[in-house]
Amino acid sequence: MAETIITINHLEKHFDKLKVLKDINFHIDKGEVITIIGASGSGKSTLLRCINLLEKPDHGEILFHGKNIIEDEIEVNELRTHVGMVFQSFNLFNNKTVLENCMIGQVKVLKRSKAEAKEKALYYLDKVGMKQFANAGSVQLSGGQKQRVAIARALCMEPEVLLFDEPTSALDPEMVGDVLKIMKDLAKEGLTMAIVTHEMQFAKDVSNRVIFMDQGVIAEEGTPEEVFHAPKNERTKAFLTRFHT
Amino acid sequence: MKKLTKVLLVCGILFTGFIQLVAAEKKQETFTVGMECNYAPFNWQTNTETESAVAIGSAGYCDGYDVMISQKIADDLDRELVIKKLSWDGLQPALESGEIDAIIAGMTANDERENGIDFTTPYYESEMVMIVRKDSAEEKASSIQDFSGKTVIGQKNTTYDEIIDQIKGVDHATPKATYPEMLLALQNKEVDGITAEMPVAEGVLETNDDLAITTFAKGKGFNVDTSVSIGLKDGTRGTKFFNDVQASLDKISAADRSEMMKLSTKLQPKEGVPTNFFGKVGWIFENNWSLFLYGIQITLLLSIVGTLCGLIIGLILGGVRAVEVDDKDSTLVKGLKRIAHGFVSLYVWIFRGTPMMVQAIFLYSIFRPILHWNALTAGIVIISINTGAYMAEIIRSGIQAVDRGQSEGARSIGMNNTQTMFNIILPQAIKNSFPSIGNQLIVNIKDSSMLNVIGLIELYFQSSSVAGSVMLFTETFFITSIIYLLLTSVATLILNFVEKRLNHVPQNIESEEA
Repeated sequence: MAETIITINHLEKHFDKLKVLKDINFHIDKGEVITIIGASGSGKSTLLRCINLLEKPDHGEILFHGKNIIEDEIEVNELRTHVGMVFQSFNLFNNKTVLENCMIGQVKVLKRSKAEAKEKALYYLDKVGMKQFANAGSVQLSGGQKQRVAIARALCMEPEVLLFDEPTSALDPEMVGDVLKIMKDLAKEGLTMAIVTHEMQFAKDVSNRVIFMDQGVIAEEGTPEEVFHAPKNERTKAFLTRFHT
Repeated sequence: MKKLTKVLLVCGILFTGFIQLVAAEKKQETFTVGMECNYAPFNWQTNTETESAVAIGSAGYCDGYDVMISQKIADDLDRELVIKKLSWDGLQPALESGEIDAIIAGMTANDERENGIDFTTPYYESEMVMIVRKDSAEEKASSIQDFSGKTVIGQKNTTYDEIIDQIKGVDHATPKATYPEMLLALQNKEVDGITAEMPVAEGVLETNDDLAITTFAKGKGFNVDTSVSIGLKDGTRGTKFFNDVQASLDKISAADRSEMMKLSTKLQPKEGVPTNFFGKVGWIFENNWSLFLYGIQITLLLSIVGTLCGLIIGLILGGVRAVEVDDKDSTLVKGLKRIAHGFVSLYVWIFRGTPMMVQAIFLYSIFRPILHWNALTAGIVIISINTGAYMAEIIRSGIQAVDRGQSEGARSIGMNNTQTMFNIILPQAIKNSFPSIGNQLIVNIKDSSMLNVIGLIELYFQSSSVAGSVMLFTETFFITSIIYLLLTSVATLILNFVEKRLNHVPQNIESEEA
């Protein structure tokens, strides 16, 4: 059995009185690609944001290599260098160029030399097909280009797990393919990923495991074949029919 | 919080030190005399160096009867004469604080002033007259009672204002601070007469040919002491210094005095005064441009340094405000953060909620005994503090305008709060706020004029002096308006250029090699 990187036990999160996550339990193993699907408001994004503590859980534990990150056993900024994140809205630094976006974390957080950081940045930019835009301002790019740079920025930190929060939801349809292609390549290379997505075909193609969330709980979990072709839960069936028609 | 105070303190000390290096400090054995440099022919400011003129810093020269008297006394005392330009109301406080050794400013001794000043015997005596419009009914008046039912004005806080009530049934107008302002009121028919001493009235007529002097018959004039005396510090009567000054004054004969007054009236800037408005404007500028130039320098120094220091204060305060109180913090850290937030709110509340003019008077006088600062240092500190309050709000809203995703992006790659603030948030906040920051510069160019209340000789104060020496109000302030407009226009152009550069987007975004 593969090494487990993240284990989540009895996780709960509420915003004021609204319970967004109720007793969530799951784990991410090394080399796994997990997709999290479900209707809007089902708690998928909140779950993902809890994993790198952009949201602070109210109850339960998140173990990173066995250490509970909620209990301050690991410094949050250090955790985030191991658990990267790609956002729906890209969140590239508007005041930086493409290259600077990819270098700043390496220089400021990982304390790499500028030369090393630049070399790494260009390597990963090349990987996402954005090397020729290295000196462009990040505000000048199209949505798809921005997301590719955002992926490169996250990869530069060389994380153990990369979280994707609806990475293609804000893109024009013709841009979606490029980004999904990059993600597929990363999956093939063995990068551990947890992806919140509405791209069902993509989820089917790349994931080892699919988690279906509904109203703050994990309603169904299994291989793509199990979840997409033989769902046990009525709510999973209802959700998937909307995508088949 | 501690760090903040330290930084502010160090900034303050550095600045004070720098300014005091620049501004020449008082040397030993000087005779420092305070006067308005705005009351021709007794004293006025000019850029013409004459035999009698004494330089006042780099703000030009002070000349006139009072300067000549001061020089004679200084020579007798064997001391170097220093003239300090002060507003009328600032003379007595300056004498009390020891900033000046004497007031020689055409001041009349009276019971009220005797309480705080020891006066010598008079050094000039003149006649009380009235300045009126030429060819008006008032010109032919021979008794002050002829002004019954008329509107009469006098200079604020002088006996010449009080004596107006000797006219029965007079309409006593609200006094004004300077003669040029009163002359304008007379020319605009708001008032019918201005009380004045003869030499002042004669000086006024040199540049205002539409005015005339009314003298009064014996016994029909004002009951007033028109003699002017030298004011020395309270309690010095009988000391060697007081006696030396008095002895020196006694040596000047009546003939000498009259000769000096004649010379002063002749020296007053007036030759070849054109008659039309723009002619006068040109003449004023030609003869006083260096005075305006000095004023411009100080105004620019105040507004540029004030805006930059204010921006630094605003960045610190705005940054402090943006630090969030975290549940994880220890009680101590939480407490410190709350105190810091409270301090910033208090700072902004006070300095944004009171006029800068009031802040200037208040801070300058409160800290003067402790810091011994001069007007320029105080002015820069005050405008910086005031601007800082506005900048804090500008920066805060600039920070709030930065998309939340920016800080999430930074946190997601492990950057801490400080790194996120300085590398990601603040640069964007400053760029967002640039138009407002630039606006503060424009505001400061104009509002620095308020600092004249602490005797800071900036463009507005300097203009009043010019108006006082040429006795032309409208024409002088026409020039001043044009200068302010030019300064703000140039500043706007520069700011627009910088803003364009900040927002510059290169067209060709692809490059061959990074």
